[in-house]
Amino acid sequence: MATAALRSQVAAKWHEGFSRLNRTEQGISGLISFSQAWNIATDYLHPQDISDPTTVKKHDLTSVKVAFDMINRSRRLPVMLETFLDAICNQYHLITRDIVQYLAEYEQSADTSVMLRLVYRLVEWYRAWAPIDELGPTIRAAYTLTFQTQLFSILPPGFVRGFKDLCASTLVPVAQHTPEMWEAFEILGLTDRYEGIIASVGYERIEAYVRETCTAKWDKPCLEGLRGWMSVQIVPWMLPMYAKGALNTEDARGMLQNVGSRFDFHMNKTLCDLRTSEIFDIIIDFPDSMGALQDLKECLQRVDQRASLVQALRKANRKRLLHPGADTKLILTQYVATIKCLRIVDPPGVLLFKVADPIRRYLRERPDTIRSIVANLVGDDDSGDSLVDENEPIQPLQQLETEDYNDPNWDPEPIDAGPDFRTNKPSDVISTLVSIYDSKDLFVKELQVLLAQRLLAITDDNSEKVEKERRNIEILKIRFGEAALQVCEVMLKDMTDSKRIDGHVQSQKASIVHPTIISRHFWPSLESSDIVMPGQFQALQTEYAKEFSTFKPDKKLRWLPHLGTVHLELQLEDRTIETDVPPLEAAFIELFSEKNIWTMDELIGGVGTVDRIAALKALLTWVDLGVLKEDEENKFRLLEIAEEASPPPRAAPAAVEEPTVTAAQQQQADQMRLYWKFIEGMLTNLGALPLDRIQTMLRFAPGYDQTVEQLAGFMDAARREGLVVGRDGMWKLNR
Amino acid sequence: MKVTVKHWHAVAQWRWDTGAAEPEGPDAENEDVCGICRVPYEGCCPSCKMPGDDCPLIWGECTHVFHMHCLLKWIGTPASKQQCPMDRRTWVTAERKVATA
Amino acid sequence: MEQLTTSLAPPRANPKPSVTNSSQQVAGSVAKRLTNELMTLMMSSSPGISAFPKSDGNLFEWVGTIEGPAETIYAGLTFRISISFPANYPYVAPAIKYDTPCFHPNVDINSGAICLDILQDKWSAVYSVQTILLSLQSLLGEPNNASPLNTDAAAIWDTPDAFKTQLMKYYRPVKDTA
Repeated sequence: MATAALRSQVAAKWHEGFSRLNRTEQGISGLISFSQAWNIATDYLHPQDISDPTTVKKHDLTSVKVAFDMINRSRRLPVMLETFLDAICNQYHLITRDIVQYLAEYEQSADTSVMLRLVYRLVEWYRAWAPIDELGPTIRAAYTLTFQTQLFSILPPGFVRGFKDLCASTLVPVAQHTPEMWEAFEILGLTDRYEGIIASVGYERIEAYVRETCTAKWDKPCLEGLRGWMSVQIVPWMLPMYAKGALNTEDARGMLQNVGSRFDFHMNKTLCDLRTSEIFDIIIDFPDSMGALQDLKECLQRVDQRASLVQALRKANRKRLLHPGADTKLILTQYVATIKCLRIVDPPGVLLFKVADPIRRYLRERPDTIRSIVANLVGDDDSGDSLVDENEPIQPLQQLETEDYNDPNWDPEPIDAGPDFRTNKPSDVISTLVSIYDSKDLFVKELQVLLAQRLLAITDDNSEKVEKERRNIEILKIRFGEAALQVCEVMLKDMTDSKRIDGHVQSQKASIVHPTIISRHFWPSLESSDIVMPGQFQALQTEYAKEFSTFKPDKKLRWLPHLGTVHLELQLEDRTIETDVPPLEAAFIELFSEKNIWTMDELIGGVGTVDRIAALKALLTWVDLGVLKEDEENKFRLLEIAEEASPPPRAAPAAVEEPTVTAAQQQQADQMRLYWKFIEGMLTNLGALPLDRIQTMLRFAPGYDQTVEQLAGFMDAARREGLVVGRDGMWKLNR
Repeated sequence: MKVTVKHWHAVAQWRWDTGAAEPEGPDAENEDVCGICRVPYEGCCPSCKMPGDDCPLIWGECTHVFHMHCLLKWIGTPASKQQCPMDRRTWVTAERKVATA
Repeated sequence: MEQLTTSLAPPRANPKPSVTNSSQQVAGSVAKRLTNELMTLMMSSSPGISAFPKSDGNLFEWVGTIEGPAETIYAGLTFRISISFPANYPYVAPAIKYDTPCFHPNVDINSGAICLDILQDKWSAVYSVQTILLSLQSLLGEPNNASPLNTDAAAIWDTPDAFKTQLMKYYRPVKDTA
């Protein structure tokens, strides 16, 4: 139903189209020549199968150019381009076929040269299908885009894998790298498309290399060597990709700056991660792991991994150190090493503070921590390795100072310092260890106990040993202060006085008794004992005490018969035995010189009072020496004549081991009772008090060593008992 | 069997011979302190560091015993009126008896 | 060695006064004796008497608390006193006064001053806070009416009803907030 108007419109359009194609030629000759040109051009452009030489046609480039020119003049180029690109898409299956084939081969051989051939093959395709340059950059760009879009849409996942392998293969050894390959990547757009993958090849190489060369190698710093390796191995590899088109090295350096810094960062991070995962063992190895610590310090300044270092070390400590199976000495050693190591890594001490906190808490809970520290202080350590460096100057214990803002060297606290961070001024290791506890008194007590043990163990006339202890105490005085160790002074004086007194007594009346005469109140309280030494022993004691009182008329001796050592000679019918035994053993064997068979009860009666376990233990000493035999249970017979093959000795009774010199810490319960008396006293007289005031007032209680948190728990317990009322932070007696 | 003691390293405490009967047990003697400084006799007075011969006791004829330094300081104050702080009798230092067996 | 280790008891198990306390050694000998007395007082638990240093920084100023003895007119009342030790204590007696107004023949009702022989001319170096507190407590029930500081009180001591009225007129209960 076309109207006349419509018809004339169509006619006008058709005419316009016709005249564009026919140009100004005669008749339709223009149209025909255009049609020919179109055919030549499309035929030329048609993507051919380069695998099949029979289909490859030769073209006369001159006529092709003429044809393009005509199409251009007819303003039909865009349409032709569209047709061309459509053809590319339609023909892409040829390329796909190739890719599948190559990849199959690669899957089988895992030979990266197959991948390289594939890349070159793709370039071949690209070149074969590319339109001539005369068509201008726009058409060229449109072609490239289409080619690459098609390529990426059909590339299977296997290609990416192979491509990565190919890139990696050019890294080890780097010499294999080929500029042609990178050029091919560039042509195909692989460089841009797979930049991440190429970079990850570099990253992974760095990671592998760092792990390979640095794992468990802690003595020397690695960073410097790694940087050298990077500049020799990685940077040249990066050049064709990241510095393409660089005119000179200066140019290249500029282009590489950004990416190079990314790779350097990655290397730092990798090393940092490695050292973080190794940190516990690095600390064990200190000081042989100095290099690793310096690396770590440098890495941490570049990479923000401080939090994960803290986390890793805390976790490792929890798992490997802070458990019942670990020896306290070991924990202390590791703690001291941790202090030293983290001071290298992080001089302000924030990391140390965060890591040390759980260790210190744990150590505080251990009953033998103080003893271990003190034993180490006085060199009473079998292992011989001291927590303290020989060359660390001996200095007084340092208190944690409050901030002095007038100090010109004052620095603000580091940004990741927690609210309870206490500036860890470089203080010596002993101060740090002692500060695990709120009071140094506990250490002094333990020191006294230990000194007492050691002094009383000096059996022979060995003034050298006493001198050694004296020197020790002199050193400790510097740390703990003269006043705190006054008691030790008295103990040492008792030792020399004893020797002098014994010298005098012996000159008056020779005796085989050589007592250590100690001052009450200055030695750790000695458990009383009700042993009465029988027979000749008592006579020896009495005689000596009499001589003593003659020498010192206003003094008398009180024996502590359970302490000391007796050197005995037993003359039996067939043998003589000489041995050193504790006094209880000596007392028992003295009884056997009266008669040969004793029951346990008789024996115990014969030495005053002694508990059965201790008695049995003393008797078993003689059984072990083949002097006594337990014929039936609790009945012992003297073996005047040795018996062959005595029956297997009765196992020493369990639980004989009384707690050794009861550690000061075990007195907590008694102490708390005492503290309560003080709290009651202050609340009675001073009225309601806040917790911190109670805490400070408790310093009047001798040996008070609780933290304010412990006190809070204690007050809470007292509240539950109905002894006190706590309101608005104030505590008062419940009356 | 003959038991011969070759050498005996023994341990003993020294005590002041205050003449008082020895109470049993080392911890039973709570009263054994100088009334003035409250420190045990076998300890030392507040002005001394070493116990024993360096910080001796003094006996009064009234039988009361103090650290010598403590008593002399008390006698030196006007408030003392030269009296024993325990019984307020005029202080007379006792001749030190020689211990007899 | 083992016998040693089993027989050495911990030094701190012993609550009686001991010379081995390092915190004492830091302070002078008077502070040492005062610490000692505080310890004794805390452990003694004498009923109705108590005392404690006012602040942690000064051992020489104490607050004491005395409860009126049962069976006396002061029964059920609690009195605060302040105790001030001289630098040469115990050779010189401490200065003591009532902080809670105490209507008593031997106590000045305004100043709280106390007339008690052992605090003046009968002082002895062997006295202690504990003996003073006990003396003060017994003085409440047994005043020395021969040398009164408060003559009014001395005058009506024998008329308990009148005395109690006066006593309660002045008395202020001890508050729990210091």
